[in-house]
Amino acid sequence: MMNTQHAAQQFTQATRRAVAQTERRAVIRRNIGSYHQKVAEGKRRYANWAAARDRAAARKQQVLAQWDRYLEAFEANVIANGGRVHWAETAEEARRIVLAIARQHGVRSVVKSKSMVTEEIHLNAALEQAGIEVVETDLGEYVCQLRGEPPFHIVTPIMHLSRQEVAVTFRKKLQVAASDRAEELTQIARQRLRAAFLRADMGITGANFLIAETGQIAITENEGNARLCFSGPPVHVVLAGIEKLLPTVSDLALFWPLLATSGTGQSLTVYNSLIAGPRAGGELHVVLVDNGRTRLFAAGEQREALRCIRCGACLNICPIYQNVGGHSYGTTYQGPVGSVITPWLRDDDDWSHLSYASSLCGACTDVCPVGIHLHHHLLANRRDAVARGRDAWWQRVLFRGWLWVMQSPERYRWAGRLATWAGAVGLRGPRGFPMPVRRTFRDWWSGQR
Amino acid sequence: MNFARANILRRIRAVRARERIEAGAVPERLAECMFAPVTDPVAQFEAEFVAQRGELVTDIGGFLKEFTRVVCDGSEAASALRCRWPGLQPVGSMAELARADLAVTGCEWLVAQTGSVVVAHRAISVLPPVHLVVARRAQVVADLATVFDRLRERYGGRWPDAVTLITGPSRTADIEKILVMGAHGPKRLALYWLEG
Amino acid sequence: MRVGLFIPCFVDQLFPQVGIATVTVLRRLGLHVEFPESQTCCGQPAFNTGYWSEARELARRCARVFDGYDVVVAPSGSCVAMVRNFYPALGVAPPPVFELAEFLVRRLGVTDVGARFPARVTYHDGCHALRELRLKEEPRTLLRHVRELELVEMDAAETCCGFGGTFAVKFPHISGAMDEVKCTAAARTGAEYVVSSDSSCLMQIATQLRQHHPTLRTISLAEVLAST
Ligand code: SF4
Repeated sequence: MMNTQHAAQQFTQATRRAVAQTERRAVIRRNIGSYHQKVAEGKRRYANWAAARDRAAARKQQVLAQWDRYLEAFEANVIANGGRVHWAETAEEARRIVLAIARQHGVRSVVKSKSMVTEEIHLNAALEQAGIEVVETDLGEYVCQLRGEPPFHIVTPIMHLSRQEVAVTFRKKLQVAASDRAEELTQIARQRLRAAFLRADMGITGANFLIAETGQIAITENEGNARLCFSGPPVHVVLAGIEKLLPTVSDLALFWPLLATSGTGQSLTVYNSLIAGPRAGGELHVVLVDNGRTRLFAAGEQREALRCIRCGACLNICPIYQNVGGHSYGTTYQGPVGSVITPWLRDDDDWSHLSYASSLCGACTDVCPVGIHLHHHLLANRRDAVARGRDAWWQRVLFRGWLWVMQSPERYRWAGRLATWAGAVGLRGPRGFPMPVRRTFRDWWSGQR
Repeated sequence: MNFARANILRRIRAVRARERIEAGAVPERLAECMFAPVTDPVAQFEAEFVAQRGELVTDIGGFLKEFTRVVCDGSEAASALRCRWPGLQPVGSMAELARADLAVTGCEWLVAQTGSVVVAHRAISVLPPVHLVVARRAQVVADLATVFDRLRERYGGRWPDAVTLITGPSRTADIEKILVMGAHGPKRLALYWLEG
Repeated sequence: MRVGLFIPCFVDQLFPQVGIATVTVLRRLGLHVEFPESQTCCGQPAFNTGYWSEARELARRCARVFDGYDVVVAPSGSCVAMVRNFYPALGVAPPPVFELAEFLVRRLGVTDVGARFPARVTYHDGCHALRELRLKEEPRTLLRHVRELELVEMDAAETCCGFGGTFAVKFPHISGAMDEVKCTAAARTGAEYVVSSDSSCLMQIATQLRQHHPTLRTISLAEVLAST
């Protein structure tokens, strides 16, 4: 277990290193630049993006308003479809469930498609420890796995890497002669992973949406690897956060385009699949993971973040994320949404330093396709951190003193004078910011009367 | 035995009992905020399909000549082709599919607004490098909302175990946002209209 | 119309010329303005740091100070946003505050304040003005009517400069990196001035400009509008 100091200090150190890497920042800026261009084009297709967003927000909010009922309905329908449902309160419990399924089927090899919840519960390490081969099959995730790195971004896991760096990784880890052409690198991955699909006896996927009405699992992807994960191996295990619900399958007529446009600028992602049961002769297991989500639900207004569809838009627009990158956060979910939810999802540490690591510019809130007021929730997290006594004692004293000063115009005036004198003897504000001037506005005002 | 389930539901209910979670009204009719309405479904489907990098096949004989190991599904549409090319045989196993160089399948519906093909099968249209969809123009519906209505009508309470909405060939842009076609699935997606 | 002036503590102490310019512009339009001298701070620093009960004290105080005014005008999008958008979260009814450009364009319908400012300028959108108050066109409309002023847009005009109050102090390296991105974009326009409604943003931007783009300077919107 880490202590508070630790995670916060690590963040500060990691971000110091990150901002010093100007080349890395340039790669990120370039990738994000092309994302923004595509998204702007994509949004132009909508008759009314803001109305679509409000509608999506309302549908997800309706789920939260009757969350338990939607969960029960979903469960009942999965069972009716011939699938099995497992519930996990913690990451540990979720891992245990998956391992038990694997053991029961004598699984030796697993193929996985991109799933953030499996990152969240550190599933790969657990499977590997049990002697099971795990292969990430999304191209970006595959590269991450080869490099032994966590994803840099919840949607585009290797957006920090140049082609050259990917090529070096392939040469080193796969012992292949690879040029740095994206086309060739993709082909190499395709060939390598084909073999993995054919030998796997279990496929693990995440879920973009869980449809309460029908018990379907909706999975969105561009590559086709998720389709192979749930089509090849006889056992399909779905890991999903319990907030992934949508009321009806028809809601996807809104959410599929919205997710695609916010995620990559596409009007639809290439493959949008709906799984309603096991394949012929196979098994379907759905693991519903809480792991702090009900804690977030109990938090207060921040529960709005449970609407999140993990599109990544708030990361891409975030000037902090753009400059410090995904790895600095030290969390599964990076960027604004990660800063909002991590303090609730993880109890190994406080994580409220992330809520302070924001200029509160609100760009995230503007782009969120489900209308989450992200920057307001960062403020609420700060409030809650103070309420829980997570603030530094000197800061508390400072603000008490500051309040005392500001409650009286005379004290305020004197504090200003004091600061002016301090400035006159050479004291500077932080980062060279100026100190108060000799003749303030109110001096001028009383002077001209 | 299942404490997790009970505990999770209990925690949610405790919050709901403590405070009212606002549900909020759902504004606007969906169609009014989404993509422009469809006036000429078939023409728009073709345009969108091509815009998503799909190919429309007119000379089916010439097209099929490019391939040597062709697999097909058991659909009525694919069998319509089989009468003309008896070499086509439905197959199933992953290994067999992985060896093929073309998959020929039917489909459920086609979506005009997005150029998408709705299929209700699993691996056949992912493994071979080229996927040919055989369809009739009557299968074109206007938009996504209509597709879900039609699927619901067709299957009632029992949905097929897998439905996939395919919009263009497989691709990735994971590396430097450079678009590469044929990531894991087919590099080419083609469509041939059956008459009548 | 009884017009109260709200001069944020920040402007009062560090940038009094911005307050003076605000008075100049309003008086030029024939308005009689009052400055209640008991005002201090709106409470934003405490609010943003999580000290909501301290912030609430000051919010109540501020609401009392401006009680009875028909409008309250402030040369800062940030402090106006604090009062209008965040006081309700503290359970305090906000006084009728307006950011200067917002007041001029939206409330008075004035777009030409009779200013002259012979320079090429680029406008930086302060985040609170842009996203909490939804002011995008108002300041630009005013600038376009300033004689001999050429307005050029920078890339990323809407990107945060990285100030963020205590954020700039707690995470100076991140704040500095954001500032650098901002100033590079501003410098590319070839402008002589970066203009903004918020002096706090301009203070942040100025630290970077001093080091890397010494020919580019900052000036508040109020001062531009006050020049003749
Ligand atoms: S919070 Fe909103 S913008 Fe961010 S990932 Fe979630 S849905 Fe997307």
